[in-house]
Amino acid sequence: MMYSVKELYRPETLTDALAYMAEHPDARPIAGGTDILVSMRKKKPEDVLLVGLQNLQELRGIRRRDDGTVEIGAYNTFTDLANSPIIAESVPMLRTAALAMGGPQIQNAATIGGNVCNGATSADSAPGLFARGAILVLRSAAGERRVPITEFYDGPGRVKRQSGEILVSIELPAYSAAHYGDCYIKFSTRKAMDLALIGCAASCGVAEDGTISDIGIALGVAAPTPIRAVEAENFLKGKRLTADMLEEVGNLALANAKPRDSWRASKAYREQIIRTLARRAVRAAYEMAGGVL
Amino acid sequence: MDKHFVVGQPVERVDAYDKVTGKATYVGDMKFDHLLQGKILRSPYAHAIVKSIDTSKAKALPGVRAVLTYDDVPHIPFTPCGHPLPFDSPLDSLIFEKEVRYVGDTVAAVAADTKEIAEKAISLIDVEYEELPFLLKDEDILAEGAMEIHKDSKNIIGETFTEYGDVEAGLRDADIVVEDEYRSPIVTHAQIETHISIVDIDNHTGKLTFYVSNQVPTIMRERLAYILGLPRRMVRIVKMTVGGGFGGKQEPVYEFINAVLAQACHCPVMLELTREENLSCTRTRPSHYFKLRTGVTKDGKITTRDLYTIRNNGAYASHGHSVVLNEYGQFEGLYPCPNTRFDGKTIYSNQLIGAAMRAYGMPQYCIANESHIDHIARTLGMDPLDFRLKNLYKQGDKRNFGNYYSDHTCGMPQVLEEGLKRIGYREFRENPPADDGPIKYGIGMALSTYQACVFPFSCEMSGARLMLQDDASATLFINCTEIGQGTDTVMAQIAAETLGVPFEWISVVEGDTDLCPADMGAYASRQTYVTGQAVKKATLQCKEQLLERAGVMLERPAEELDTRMGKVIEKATGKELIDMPKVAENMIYHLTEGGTCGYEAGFIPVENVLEYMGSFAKVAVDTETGKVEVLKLVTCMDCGNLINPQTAMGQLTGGSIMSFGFGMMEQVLIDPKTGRVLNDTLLDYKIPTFADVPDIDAQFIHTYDPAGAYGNKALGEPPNITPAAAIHNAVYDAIGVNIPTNPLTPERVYEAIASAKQGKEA
Repeated sequence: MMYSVKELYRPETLTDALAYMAEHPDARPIAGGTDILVSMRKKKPEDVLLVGLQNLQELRGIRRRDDGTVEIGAYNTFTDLANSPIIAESVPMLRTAALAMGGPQIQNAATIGGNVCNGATSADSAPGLFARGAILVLRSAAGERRVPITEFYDGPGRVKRQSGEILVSIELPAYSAAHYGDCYIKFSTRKAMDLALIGCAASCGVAEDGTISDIGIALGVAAPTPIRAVEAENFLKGKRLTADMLEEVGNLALANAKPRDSWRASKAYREQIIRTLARRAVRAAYEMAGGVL
Repeated sequence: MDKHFVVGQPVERVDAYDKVTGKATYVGDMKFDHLLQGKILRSPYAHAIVKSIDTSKAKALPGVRAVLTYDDVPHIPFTPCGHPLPFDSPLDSLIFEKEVRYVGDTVAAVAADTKEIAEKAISLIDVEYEELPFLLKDEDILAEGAMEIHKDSKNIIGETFTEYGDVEAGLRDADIVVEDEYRSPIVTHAQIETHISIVDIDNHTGKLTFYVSNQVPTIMRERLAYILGLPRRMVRIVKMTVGGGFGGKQEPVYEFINAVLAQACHCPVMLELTREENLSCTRTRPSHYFKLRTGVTKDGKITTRDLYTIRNNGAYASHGHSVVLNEYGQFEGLYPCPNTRFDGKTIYSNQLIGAAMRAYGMPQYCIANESHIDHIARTLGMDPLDFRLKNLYKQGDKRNFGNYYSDHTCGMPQVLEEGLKRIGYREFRENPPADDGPIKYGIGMALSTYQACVFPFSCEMSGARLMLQDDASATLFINCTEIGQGTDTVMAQIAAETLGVPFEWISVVEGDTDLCPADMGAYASRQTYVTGQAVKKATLQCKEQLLERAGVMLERPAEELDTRMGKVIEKATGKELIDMPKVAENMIYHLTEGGTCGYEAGFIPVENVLEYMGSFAKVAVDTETGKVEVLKLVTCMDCGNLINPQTAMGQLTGGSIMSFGFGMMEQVLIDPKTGRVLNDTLLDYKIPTFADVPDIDAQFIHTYDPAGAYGNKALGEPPNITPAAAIHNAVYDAIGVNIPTNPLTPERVYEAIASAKQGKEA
């Protein structure tokens, strides 16, 4: 057959899934399969043990806690994200990202958990989750581990998911500021069925006086993993945004980026896009939070 | 023109229901007992000698039925080029090569019980290669003493040089000479259905039946017999539903490989290419280089046109130089002038093979030439529209070359009028929109002519047979090839109109060389123009016999009778006299005078016609990213009378989308270090999705050309010519830079803006 699968186990509960994963350290969780099946068609990996997560209710749902934390079950498809009123209200940039990813068929299958665990720097959900400082909740038979997403990526296509672990949910800590705004911009050749050449997310908490109290700026495909543009963030914290500052935001965003030359785009061009997207995303997030330039 | 009852109606396509419900049978849907799967071993090198091949491990793998190499198959040099006889391309190809000339060239093949076993077996074949230097770039290929990719070829596939008037004097005497260079990328057809065929064998006679996804069944029969060294009677081609051709399936591409496998295994063998193979080792629209020089007077009259072009065709000639000839055929179409020179050559290189692709050289020529025209206008300080109006061909004008085109109709004035109105050209020029931050706006146009067929340069024969049934319905047998354009529907409409019956009374049997008369098939834009006349000719004979019988039954001279929508009528008054089914029944069942009624006709055109078209585009360019948004794309076309307005609109819209992809995002990228295709997936070879398609306003300009069966000219390729060029000129208008290549990727546009800015500052 086209895919070299040794066994597909489809547990009904998370407990069963974790027990199986503990017994089979090589087993790979599969959710929508939109990444793993593509890599298996290229014959790597071969003879895979797959653990299907489709029936695990523990991985479903999107909730907003009283403290404002948004908790997203790992098994939410991009269509689920796009249709969620909680996402639309609390993290609209994730809705933008969900609708920018692949096409409708892929959005119906692919999950946010899979998008993160696949470890691609181009993952459309990653910049938004990085900007918001998402916490990943991983479970294994041994217990639970909470990891900031900024510490989860290990290199291109590699994450620090340990053997036996399943990503259960993703938590977005609340911003305390009076007003919130965010923005995700995906830059790609096509409007659908494409990977980001650069992706940029900005989230912004703005006080009544227009000063920025919380700020997250994150970039996809600007380095081997998604990254936070920390210097640009530090520059903006506690300030009111002005048009003059945007130029600096763009330049500072580059400080943390390591874009590369490839046949898909030159380093110089990627840098130009990073500068431009950072400016535009920050401005859009600030304005959405009621800030006036 | 007479009133038409079926022609001109947007009748539902005859294949619509089957395609939408999934009932249509593509090659991949066919079921056979003991169907084996083929797989090709391809060269990993751009140029190498195959020193030795060890197939023993592959042959030992359980489930492998045959492993074939150069030594096991015929060595008859051939050209796959899907043109009618006589051969007009070099005979430079073999089934398997000993000297491989591009990454993907054929070295060996396997037939096995399953695809997976075949794939595994391929990996078990050991080949020893001796790597050779390879050539990709025009200047290296044409350099003095360059290595010859094919022996004694000097790397030239074909050359054309013609001059009228005195070009050097014209350029010397011109007030202004404008020069431009343009290079188009390699693009490929990216058919949704990858190349696929099944070859079945009659083990008693050895006769091979090819079930194909192909555009030219008649030519396939001749060519495959030649390649395999068989008498033509031993080859039958059955064309199945085709999931896209666009010229890439206008020749045998790999069908001869499963043929030799079927001969070796005595079993049917399927060969289905993967997406990666389809994108990297089938056929392309290869890269063209153009150098244009035009001499004009100060007041904007073109006096001299000079074009030098190189087509870098890849490892084998295939259609090669005839594509350059097609550009030559339209070179004087739009802007005739006294002094013209066309100098074109087609060359070999160590990359994938150039062949036919929709509009055969014209999309790339159109961007090169129409952006050059805009450049001249800007140099003169004229509006590109005014410059065109001053130089455009008008009916009755003389062309140095191309006077073999008939001149019954020319819709170009209406194309311009309608297109300019729909895009709002004059309003835009009078009130140009202000920049919106980093966004700049532009407007542009591109015009073209195109021929219907290849008369008088190559065989243009089409055949049709109409078999009248006992109820005056009829079965139409054609090898006019339905590959999605809607020809089955249109041919049925022509038969129904001619016979005088409702559309539903005609059924079509199509694409089988044992059943249907010869036809040169789906290429150029020929089928409605040529086969349409063959269908009309055969049908008229059936109608004549039916009316004779009706005359006997009605005791009136047949000349006084006609048919209309299933009735025999009195010609003079239109009065209905008798139902046609009654007459047809009488023709068959009459006790003493009964017989059959069926006629076959071949048709060869005696003239070639030109379609006229123009596209008009409005764009917004983000100068910080180079991203181009096409705000509106208008295409107007004079292709004569429409047989079916609905399928015609499908062609015009589909062609516009394909052209948009060519202009904006498609290109096959080759690694200069290895000669390998870098982007052999649909993620990296970017064809537009529906989300990318701009607002398209497609309009037909009505003319009625007496050369066509029912006033029609031709339509298949023309929609793919002007849209990309119009967008190109709109971007030129927005940013003031004529980018000398396509596609207009954001990076390319941004770099053009940035370097223009730097130039200004410096």
